[in-house]
Amino acid sequence: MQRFQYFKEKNGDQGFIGMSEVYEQIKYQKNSPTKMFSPIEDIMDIFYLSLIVGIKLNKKLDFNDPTYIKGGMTPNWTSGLKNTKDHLVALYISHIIEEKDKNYKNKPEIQKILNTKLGKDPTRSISDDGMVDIHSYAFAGYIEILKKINKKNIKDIDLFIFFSTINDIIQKN
Amino acid sequence: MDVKILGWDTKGLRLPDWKINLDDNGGKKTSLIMMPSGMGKTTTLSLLRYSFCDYSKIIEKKDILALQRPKSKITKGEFNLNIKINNAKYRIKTIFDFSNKTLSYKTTDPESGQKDGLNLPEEIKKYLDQEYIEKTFFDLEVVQKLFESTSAIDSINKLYKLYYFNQIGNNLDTYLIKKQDESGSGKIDKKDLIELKHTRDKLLKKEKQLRNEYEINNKKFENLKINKSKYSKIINDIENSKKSIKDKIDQARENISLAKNDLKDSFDNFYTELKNPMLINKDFKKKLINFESNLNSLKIPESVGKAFFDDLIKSNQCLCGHAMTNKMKDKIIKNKESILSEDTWLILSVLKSKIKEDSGKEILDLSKSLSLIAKSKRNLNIEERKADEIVGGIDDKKYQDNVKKLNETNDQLNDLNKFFQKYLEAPSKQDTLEDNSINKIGNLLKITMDKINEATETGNISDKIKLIKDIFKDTENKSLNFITNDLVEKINKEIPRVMPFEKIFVKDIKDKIVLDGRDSASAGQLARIGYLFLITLLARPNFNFPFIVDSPVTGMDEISRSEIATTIATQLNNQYIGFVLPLERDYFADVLEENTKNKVNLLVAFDTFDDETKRLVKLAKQYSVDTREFVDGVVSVNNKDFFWNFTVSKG
Repeated sequence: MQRFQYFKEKNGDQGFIGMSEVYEQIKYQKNSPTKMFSPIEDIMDIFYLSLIVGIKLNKKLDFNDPTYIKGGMTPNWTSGLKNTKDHLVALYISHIIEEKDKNYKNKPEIQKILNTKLGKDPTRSISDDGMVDIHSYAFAGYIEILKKINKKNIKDIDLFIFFSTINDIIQKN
Repeated sequence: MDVKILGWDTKGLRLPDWKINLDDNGGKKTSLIMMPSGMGKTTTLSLLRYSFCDYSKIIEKKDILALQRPKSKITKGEFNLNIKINNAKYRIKTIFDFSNKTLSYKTTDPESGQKDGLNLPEEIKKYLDQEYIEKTFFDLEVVQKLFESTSAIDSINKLYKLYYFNQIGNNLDTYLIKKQDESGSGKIDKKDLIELKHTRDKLLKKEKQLRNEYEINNKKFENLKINKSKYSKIINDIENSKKSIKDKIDQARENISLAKNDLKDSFDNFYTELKNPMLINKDFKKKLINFESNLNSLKIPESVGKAFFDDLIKSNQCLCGHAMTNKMKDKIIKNKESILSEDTWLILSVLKSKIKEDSGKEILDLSKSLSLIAKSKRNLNIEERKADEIVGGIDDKKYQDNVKKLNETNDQLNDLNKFFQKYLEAPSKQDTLEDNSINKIGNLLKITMDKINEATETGNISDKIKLIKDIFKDTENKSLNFITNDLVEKINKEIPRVMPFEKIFVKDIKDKIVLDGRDSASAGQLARIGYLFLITLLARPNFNFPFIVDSPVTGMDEISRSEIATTIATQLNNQYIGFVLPLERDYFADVLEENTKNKVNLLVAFDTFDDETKRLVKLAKQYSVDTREFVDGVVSVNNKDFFWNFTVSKG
């Protein structure tokens, strides 16, 4: 996978609000009275938040489902997520390991997972296989966020609502 | 070739149905037409522009409708312009059809009488295009733009037609594409070549679309910047005029600014916390610490990596001293898949050390940070409401309108800035057709063209075209350099006269006019240099065309007005028509009169559409102006007493 992908549309779901629409609605805009406070500066921020929600809820969907329309983003982690990347990749890989071997008993199997999911490129730190995985979590997480926000119109979503929703999901045990 | 405007009359337009005659006797080449604000100066300027260049295919419908008289059922209006070209009289009728939103022309010339269309002599058509007309019939905004944007260099490019080089270059590109399409697939598969050509066509289309968007957005940007400074000035003026509440407004704004900073900080803080997955949730933290400690227990990563086993397979004996058999080798190959590669080893070491760094830190209280956002939002709302009450108390529709317009303009400028940023992004390996950077698309196009050239063996033609284009570029640059140096020299020669007290010289014309040794100057000083630039730029040895200016000295000090008047009177050979406000009269009209030995037409014109103009009619009568000549307007020609005593204010 050359670039990170965002969840653009869902075939057959006219009411689906894509990641780019949410991004446009809450991104930083210097001269907008409501968006000037936003720390969201790249659509990758929406992807990141969706990913932690997906991992938290252990929700995954089939990334290759043809009904999911995707759009290309950056090829690497953005500078805004520079300090987040390593924890995030570790969180993802530990989650995958625990799914297969909760108590870390099978060393060869764990080493195999690490070899398959971590990338060769230290700037991205994740393999193509791992990329498909994190997208599956992120897209599922994004759907959960939309469900929880429960707004039919993009105009009804603002940054505070978005952050509150993420916080609710993350804090819930 | 000498072109002179003799006058015009209007019918069925938003202007009164009146007739303006400019006295041509005794070689008068300067006219000042004084009109109160909002009574048609800008509209007349537009109508004059439409008369000299065929706008029937380029005018926007909204611009036609803007000429329709409000609440009127009249469906057609006309503007009739009387001109003299080398002593032969012409009449140009511009007809506006408000039902169909179209514009058409009829021209009457001394030889063939009236005919459909805009039929001016061929000799002057070569000079008159939209660009030339818009530079010769201008308002002060045009002058302002010369110092702020690429307007100065754009004007030179367009008026000297240097863009022809680029057009020829484009034609050569089209020729290359034709040659590529005519050639066989040569070195590569036919299907691959078709695919490459398809990509090329899409890239060319995208490149064209991006350039168009850039040009449109650039114009929009320049206009928005001018509007922004206009709105800001009006807002400041109103605020300063109400000094009693100015302090309260300043304080309220200070409070809002602080509350905004607080809110921004609290959002930033929340998101910064949210960006540390290890500390936002205790399960996440536990999971990560388990991960790190379990890997340590399992001695992952080990100090021996995959490469070690790769080397071992190649050796003749095992570490234990036994000879290495094929069976042993197969076993090692199978088992090494579960050994970490060097790359994974490296990444994993970083992940583990990051977890270790944060393992001793407390879990963050995100809900507390979120409630701080809510609190900051509330505070900002309170401060904004307080400010609204103060500003609302001003009860000034003009003020509120301009604040709204300023905010909208700022938003639009911000969006355009983002477009420009994307437009100029540098190429990278991951570029696609969906990118909106001209550099990225240009690079993709070059790569595609190179491949097609190689496949169709058109590289030779491509190289030749490149050489010709390089020569054109060089010629264009040298021409531009020569023209700008000449302009700078001519302008600077006049500077001591138009700026006798503080001389500001022009250093260069890069994109805009660059001043020598300073970043900027006062509005009046800039206007004086701008006038010199335009007069010098538009001067054509064989073409004498009118110079028409809307609000020529608005907002300028006495010295600037006088010096501009002197420049017009002594340096400009062309006919000059200025649409002035009563406020612009002093130190301008008198200096013009003095320097032209009273050869100036002084006109006053105002409409009588509403009752508020009754006072103006009464004033006109006092100075023996015929106020019954037109149904809905008054025009006074060369009644000097009325010109000098005409006042709009009630005092």
